[in-house]
Amino acid sequence: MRKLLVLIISTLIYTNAIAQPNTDSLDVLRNVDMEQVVVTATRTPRQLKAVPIVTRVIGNMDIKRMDATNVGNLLESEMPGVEFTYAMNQQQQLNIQGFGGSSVLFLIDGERVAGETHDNVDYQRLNMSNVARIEIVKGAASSLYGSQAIGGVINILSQDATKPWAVNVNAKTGSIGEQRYNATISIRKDKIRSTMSAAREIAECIRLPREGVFEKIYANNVWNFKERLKYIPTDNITITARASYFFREMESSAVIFNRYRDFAGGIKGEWKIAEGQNAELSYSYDQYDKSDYTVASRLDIRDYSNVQHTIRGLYNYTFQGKHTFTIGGDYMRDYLLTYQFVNGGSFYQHMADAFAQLELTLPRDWQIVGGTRFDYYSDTKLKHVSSKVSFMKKLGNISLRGYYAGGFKAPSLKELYTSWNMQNMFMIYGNTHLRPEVSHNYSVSVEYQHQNANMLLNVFHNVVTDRISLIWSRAHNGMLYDNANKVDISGLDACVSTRWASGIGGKLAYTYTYESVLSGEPLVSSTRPHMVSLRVDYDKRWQKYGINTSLTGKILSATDAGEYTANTGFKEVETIHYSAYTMWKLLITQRIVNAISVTATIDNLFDYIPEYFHTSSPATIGRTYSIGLSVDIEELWK
Amino acid sequence: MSRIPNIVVVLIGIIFSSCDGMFEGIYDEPVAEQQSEFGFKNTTMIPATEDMPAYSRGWLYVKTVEYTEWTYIHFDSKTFVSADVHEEYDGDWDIAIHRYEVKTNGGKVRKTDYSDFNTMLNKTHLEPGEYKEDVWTTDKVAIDLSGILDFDVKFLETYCSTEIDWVEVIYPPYPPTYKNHDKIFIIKLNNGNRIGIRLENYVNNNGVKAYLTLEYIYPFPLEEK
Repeated sequence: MRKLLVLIISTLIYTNAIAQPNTDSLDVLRNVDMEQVVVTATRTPRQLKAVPIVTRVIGNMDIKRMDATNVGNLLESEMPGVEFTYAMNQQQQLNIQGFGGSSVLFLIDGERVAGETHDNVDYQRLNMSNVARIEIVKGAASSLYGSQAIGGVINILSQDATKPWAVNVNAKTGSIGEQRYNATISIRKDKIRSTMSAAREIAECIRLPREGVFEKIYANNVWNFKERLKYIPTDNITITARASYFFREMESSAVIFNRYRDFAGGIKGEWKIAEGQNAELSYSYDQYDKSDYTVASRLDIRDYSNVQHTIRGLYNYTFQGKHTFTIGGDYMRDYLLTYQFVNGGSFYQHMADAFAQLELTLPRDWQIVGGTRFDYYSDTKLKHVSSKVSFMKKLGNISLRGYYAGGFKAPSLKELYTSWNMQNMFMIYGNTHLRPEVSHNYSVSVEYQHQNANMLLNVFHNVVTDRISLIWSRAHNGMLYDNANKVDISGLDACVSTRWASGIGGKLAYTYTYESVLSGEPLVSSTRPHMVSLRVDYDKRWQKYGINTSLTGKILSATDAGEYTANTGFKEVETIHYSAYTMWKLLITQRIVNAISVTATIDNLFDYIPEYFHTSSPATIGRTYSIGLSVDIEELWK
Repeated sequence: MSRIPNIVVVLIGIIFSSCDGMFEGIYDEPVAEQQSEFGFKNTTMIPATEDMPAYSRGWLYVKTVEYTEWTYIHFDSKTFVSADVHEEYDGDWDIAIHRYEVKTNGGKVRKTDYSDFNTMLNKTHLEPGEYKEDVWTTDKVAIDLSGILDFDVKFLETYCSTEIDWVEVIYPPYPPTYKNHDKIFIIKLNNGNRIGIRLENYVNNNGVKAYLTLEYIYPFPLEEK
C-alpha cells in the first residue's frame, strides 16, 4: 500500500508538472454557493443567503470529492460536532452536539425514514449515489416537521437528470476488504426525467487490534436500488414517482445473520397554480424490516416491520412579491411489528398534523418568520402545539439571525408497548403513561460572507424536558421507558471557510457543547465538549485533466461518560473516560478527459487506535487505504 | 391523461392492501419443533478394524433453554432427561448440560486442538493431553437472572467442567455476544469409557439460542500416546 501511495503521489506531481492550466476554463468551486436554493429550513425554496435559519449544505461536488458511501461517512467528514459510534449489536449511533439519533430527523426528499435500531435509523440505507445535496438545519424544527426534530433535520435530496443521457459506473476497494460498486443511469427526454441506480457494498469482518467490549467489526453486505421518475406534462405540473429497495446482511455471529430490508416508494404532484402560488400533494410508503437468517436451517424469519404511509399537502402563497404564507398538513399511519412486543405482535397508530408559517420581508433588510404546528396521535390521544419565531437582519455582508423554536418527540410505539424478555435475562417494558419529550431551543448567529470567504458563529441553548429514556425500575424489576428529568444542552459552533481562484480552499470549524443534568443524575451521554474539524484542499482543472487533493481532519476532546458496566449493574453508572483523539483523511482525486476519476484515500492517516474499545469508542483498526474509480460513460463520447 | 384515473385506482388499491406491509411471502415462517426431534440421531455403528475398536458416531440434539434445568445424558442407553437443578437425579447419566455449561458424573475432560472428527480419526493415535476434573463453582451455572440488571444473578453451587467452553456468553454490553469455540472435547468417564464430543450449533431452526446440536463418538476409539 505504501508503494501504491508513492505511485499515486508521484503521478500526481508529474501530471501536475506537465499539465498547463487552462485559465479560461477554470472550474473552481465557489466557496459556498450562497445563491443555491434550499428547501428544508422553511419548506419553501429559498436562496441560501436569504434563509432566516442557518442551513448547512453538503453539495454534490463535496459528496463526490469525499467519495463517501453513506451519509455517516459524509457527515463525519463534513460536519463539525458529529460523531458516529456503535450502539448495541454494532448498530451505528449518532451524536450531533449532544443530540442522539432519536432527536435528529432524517428525511429523503422531504420524507421520513421508517425503522430504527436503538433509536437510530439505518444510516447504511442512506446511500450517497445520485444525491444532489444534503441540507442540515440544526436546532428544533418541530413546528414544520413534527416529532423527533428536536435536535435538527437532515434532508437528503436526490439529483435530477440534467443531460439527455448519462451513465456513471464506479467502484472502490480498500485494504480491509471493503468494496463498493455503483451504477447510475439517467435519462432526460422531453417531459420525462429518470434516474436509476444500483449499489453494492461489501465489508469484511475486521478483528480489532486491542481489547474492548467488542472485539471485531461484523461483516456487512449491502444492496441498494433506487429509481426516480419525473414527468412534467405541462409547465405548471410536475409528477415525481420513486421506488427503492435496500438490503443489508450483518454477520453478527457464525450461526445467525441479521438482515435488514427497506421497501420505499412514493408519488408527488407539484402544481404551480399561478405566479407566487404553488401546491404539493404527496403519498409516501416506507417499510423497514428486520429478520434473522439461521445459517444451518436457512430460514429467514422476520421479527420486525415498521410500515409508514404518509399523505401530505402543502400550499405556498407569496404575496406582494416578498412575503410567503405556507400551510400544510400530514397524515401518517405508523405500523410496528416487533419481537419486543408480547408474542411478537404489532401495534399501529394514526398521526395527523396541520402547520402554518408566515415569512415576512420587512424594510431595512429584516426578515421575520413565524410558524406553528398542531400534532395529534391517535393512540395516546396526544395533542401538541409547536411554535417557532425567527428573524434575519442583513447588514451588508453580515447576516444576523436568531430564533426560538419549540420541539417535541412523541412516544413511539416501541416506547409505549415494549414487553420483552431479553434473551431470558431481564425484561424491558414500555410505558403507556409516557409524556412527550419537549424542548425549547434558542439560537443566535452571525454570518459574514465575502467573495472568497464565509464566517459563521452560532450560539445555541436547548432545554429538553421529560426526556424519554430507558431506566431501571425497581417496581417492574426491569428496564422501563420513562420520562427523565430535564437536560440543558448549550454550545456554539464557529466555522471559517475560504476558496480562491488558484484552487486552494479550506475550512476550519469548532464546536463546543455543554450538557448539564440535575445534580446527582447520571449523564450517560458521551458527547465530547470540544471538536475541531479542518479541511485543506486544492482543486484545479485543465482541459483534459483535473485534480482535487483534500486533507480533512478532526480533533475530538476527551470526555467522561456514565455507563452501565459489569462493575455497576443498572442502578448506577461507572464513569468511563474517553480519551481525546484525532482522525485525518487524505484524498487525491484525478479526473481525466472529464470522464474518468481515480480517487486514492488514506483514512486515519496518523494511525489512531483506542487504548481500549469502549462502547462509544471509534471503531477503527488504524490507518487504512482505498482506491476508487468512477467513469461517466457519456463523457467518453464527447 | 385518460389513464390517470386508472393509475389512481391501482395506487389506492396498493395503499389499502399494504397497510401492514408487503412482501411477507419472502420470509420463512418459524417451524414448530416436535419432541421427537430431540435426542440421539443418525447413530452409525462403526465396526472394529485392526487399528481401532468399534464405536458409534452420531448426533445429539437437546434443548437447554431453561435456566432451572439440567439435561442428563447417558450414552450407553442413548437417553436424555431434563430435571430441575435442585432435584437429585437418580438415573444413569454420563454428562449433564445446563444452557452451555457441562458437568460430568465423576469424569474428566480434555480439550483438543481438533475441530473435525474425520481429521482426528485419520490419526493412528491421539497425542497425550491433560484431563481435568470438574471443579466446584459458585458463579458459572446461573439459575435466576431476574436481578441481572443489578448484576444480582443467582448461581447454583455445583461441580462443573471448566474445560468445556464451547459457547462463551459475553455481557455487558447488551445484548450478549456469543463466541463459539469449535473444538472436540474428550470426556473420560469413571467407567473408563471416553466420549468424543463437539458442538455443531447452539441455535434451533428458528434461530432460538440454547438448542444444542452435538456431534459425538462413543466410545472414543483412539489411543492416547
